[in-house]
Amino acid sequence: METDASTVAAKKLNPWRGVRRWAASELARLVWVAALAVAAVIGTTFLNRAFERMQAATARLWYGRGVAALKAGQADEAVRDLQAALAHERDNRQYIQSLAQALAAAGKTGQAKAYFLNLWQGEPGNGELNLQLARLAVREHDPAQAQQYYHGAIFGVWGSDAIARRRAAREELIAFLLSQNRQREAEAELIALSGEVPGDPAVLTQVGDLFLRAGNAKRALDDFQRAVLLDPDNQPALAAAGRTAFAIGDFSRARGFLERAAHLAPEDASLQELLENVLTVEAVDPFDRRLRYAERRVRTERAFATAGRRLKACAQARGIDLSAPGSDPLHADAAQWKELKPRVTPRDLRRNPDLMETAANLALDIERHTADVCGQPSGEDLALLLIAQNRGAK
Amino acid sequence: MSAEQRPIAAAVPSAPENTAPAHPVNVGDRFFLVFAILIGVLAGCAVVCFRISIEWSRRLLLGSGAVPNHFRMVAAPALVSLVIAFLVIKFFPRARGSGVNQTKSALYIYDGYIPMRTAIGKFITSALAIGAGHSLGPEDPSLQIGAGIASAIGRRLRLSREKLRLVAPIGAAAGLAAAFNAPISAVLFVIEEVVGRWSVGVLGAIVLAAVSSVTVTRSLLGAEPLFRIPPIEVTRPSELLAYSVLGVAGGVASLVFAKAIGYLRPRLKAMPHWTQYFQPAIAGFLIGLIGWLGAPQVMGAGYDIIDQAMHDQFPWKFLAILAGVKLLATTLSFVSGTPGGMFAPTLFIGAMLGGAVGGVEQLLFPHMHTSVGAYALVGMGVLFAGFLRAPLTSVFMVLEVSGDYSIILPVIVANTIAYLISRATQPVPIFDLLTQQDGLQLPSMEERREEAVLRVEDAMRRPGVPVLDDSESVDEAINHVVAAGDAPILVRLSPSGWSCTSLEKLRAAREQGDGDAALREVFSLVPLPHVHADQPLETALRRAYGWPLLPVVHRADFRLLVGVISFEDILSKYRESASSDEEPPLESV
Repeated sequence: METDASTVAAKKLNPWRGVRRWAASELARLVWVAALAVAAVIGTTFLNRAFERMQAATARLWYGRGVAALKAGQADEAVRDLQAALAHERDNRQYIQSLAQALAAAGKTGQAKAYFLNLWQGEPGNGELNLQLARLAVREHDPAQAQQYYHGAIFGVWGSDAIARRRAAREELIAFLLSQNRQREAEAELIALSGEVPGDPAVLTQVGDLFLRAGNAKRALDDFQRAVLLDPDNQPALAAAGRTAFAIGDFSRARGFLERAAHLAPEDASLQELLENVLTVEAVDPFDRRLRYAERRVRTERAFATAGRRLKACAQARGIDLSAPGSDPLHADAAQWKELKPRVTPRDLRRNPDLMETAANLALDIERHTADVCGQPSGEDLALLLIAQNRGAK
Repeated sequence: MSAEQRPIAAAVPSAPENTAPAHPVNVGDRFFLVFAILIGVLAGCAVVCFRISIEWSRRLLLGSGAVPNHFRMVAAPALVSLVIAFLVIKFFPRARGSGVNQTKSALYIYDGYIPMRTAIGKFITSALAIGAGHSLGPEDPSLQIGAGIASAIGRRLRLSREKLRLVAPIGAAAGLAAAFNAPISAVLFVIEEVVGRWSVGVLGAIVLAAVSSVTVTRSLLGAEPLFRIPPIEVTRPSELLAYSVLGVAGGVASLVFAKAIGYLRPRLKAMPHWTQYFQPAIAGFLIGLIGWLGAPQVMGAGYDIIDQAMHDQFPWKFLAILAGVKLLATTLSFVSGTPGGMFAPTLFIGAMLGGAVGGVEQLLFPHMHTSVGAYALVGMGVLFAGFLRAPLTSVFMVLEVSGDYSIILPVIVANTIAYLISRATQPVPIFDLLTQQDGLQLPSMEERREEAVLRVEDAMRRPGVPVLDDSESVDEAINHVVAAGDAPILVRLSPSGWSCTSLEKLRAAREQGDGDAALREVFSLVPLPHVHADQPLETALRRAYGWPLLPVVHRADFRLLVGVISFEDILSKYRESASSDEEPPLESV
């Protein structure tokens, strides 16, 4: 009893004894270790954040240098700087992408591709990455891969100005397909592109150009006309429409476009020349349905005579004796021309409409054959040749 | 009682009772798994700090650019190495080397004791060495730092000796997992190279520690893997042949690497003591010179260079040069006693070698569309298998680091070839060689993995002893076993189980008038422990002590006797096995 009393008294005297005993227990030690772990995590987090900030600042510095070097065309230096940036912030996708671009600029296609592919793996739908990979595939002469990545870019996700970037990617793909002589695929892409373009005359003109390159002049002319409708004073669209109409032999439409285009750009000599050709064609065309009979007869006589002169001049220039027997087209034309010559008079032509048709056709044949032998003519001969080509195409 | 209830056990030496544990079970032991998690957290934090220190010292000593300037390249490793050598010799003598063997020593020799001073020393000196450009890696030091922290806390918690011995590998796994950002590989490596055996008791704790450390590391440093792995595709089975070539190259490189270290290290250690102050500096100077001459990529751990190699950034010739030069640089750094690990350099050499082999194959067989990145990745595993001789870890490490299981076949093929070549040409694994050079005799993990386990079937005898059913009467039993003499007699219990008795006991029962009574009525038949033929002999040893013999029974029918085994049978088998399996003397290595 005495001992108990003394213990109680001791406890009263030393209230910390229980606490000390608990502190000495194993459980308390475990709690102590847990507290240590928490403190370690907090301390390390602060340290790490400070270090990360420092690393990020250094990385930004190197990145800035790298981008500047890339812009200045110093690709090798850019690669070194961007590698340094990446060493400090290795997971920064922007740095990786820039490094890949720098590598591509430095001609290290394989290395650039490896980095792009690595990024692409994480974002297979990224439009920019697909476009870059498509360009690398073009460089590596891998058309299948190129087309696949171009489609990835066209249907991919873009950060800003997505519509324009997608359209640009499709235009690039079309240009690539055209360079590969894959007109049909290019045309298919163009049709898709044409449906996407907004009412922007410049874009329509661009699309028309691509249609023209793909060999679809009629579709090109439609787009140029749409551009002209949207902006009647759009000189490039007017010129392109004029040229296209001229190319497909629609000379009356060509004249309309070319006159307006030449008016807006009088300094453009090629346009003026084209316009003159169109005007000459319109002036000499014996098949123009709008002509009255008498006028057609006059034009036929004139065409026949012009063709005869051209035939003689060409034979002379090439040293061909048309009076000697021969089986080539020029000899045949000469024989036919000689035979028709006495009959191609105003009186006979008036009496015989079929003769007018025959004489005009012979004139066109002569222009075509002489162009094959003596090259492209000028003036009225050129106009007749263009009419011949146009009728032949039809 | 007419039929005396005499326990048969009385007729034979009694079985030992469960002995009390040598150490009282304390809270630390009871909450061992919680403790393992805390070790993981602390090791993770330590490794994050360690990595920051390496980066910081690199930045300070070599600059922040991708390639340091020439003066720093040569001066920094040489001058800093003087400081490192002073610190190691004067303050942290146990911080020398990689850290793997030191952890093994702690486990097998010092009861799990790793001084905190060693962990601190390893932290400081390794960070300086790697940051200054020595061709060493941070993984093995992380392993030792983790083990050191675990050991210190275990002591603080007053864990039992058994648990204290286990905390070192737990901390090691946590440290390595954090450094590698790969918990599976870390667990496997520690099991494969440090602990040596799969044990449920330690496995759970190791896994928890590894996972918690990686969680901490990932939450602080990000979840990105150690390397950015390019897309890999193995399209043709014929590519496996190409990877086999890589396996052969890796095996040869492993041999050269191990031989170089094995030859130079003891010779440098044997030089006068004062030279050890200068050996790391000379090694550092030579490595700086290598950098100055055109291969600065070999300086430091080189993870960024591995990354670049995997992304096809170097031509194959340069990759081959880098592999050779890195091998030389790492040998110099390691044999000079500079603290730092061999994991990263091994991965580096493997990646460069793999990239070079891939590049050559790309050149020779362009139609195969070889991916240099894939070869570099497989190459890392190849050197790991061949040089470090951790085949299982090498396979999982590649898979875990790449996160791509399509590469598994090439990895297995190439690693196996490299491992077999290394084993055939280098009988002693590098870690064992290093411990032997240090005058220690630690258990060889490779031998442990492959040592034949003795089983019950190796020591058991055919069931030649008499067998009685417990339903038989005493008289019938005596008639059955009259020729047995003093030999123990097995009694088959119903419905199942076995017991034993002796002729003397049966006769005594008959003399007392129990001749007609069934055995189970006369005797209190204590069930005998039984074993199965395929169980380890060690199991039988534990069970046999105190019994005249144990029945070896069929696994599908416990009443079917396959054989019998006695304590003496077991001992004689162990003696026989020991005499044919003596370790060679140390000098012969």
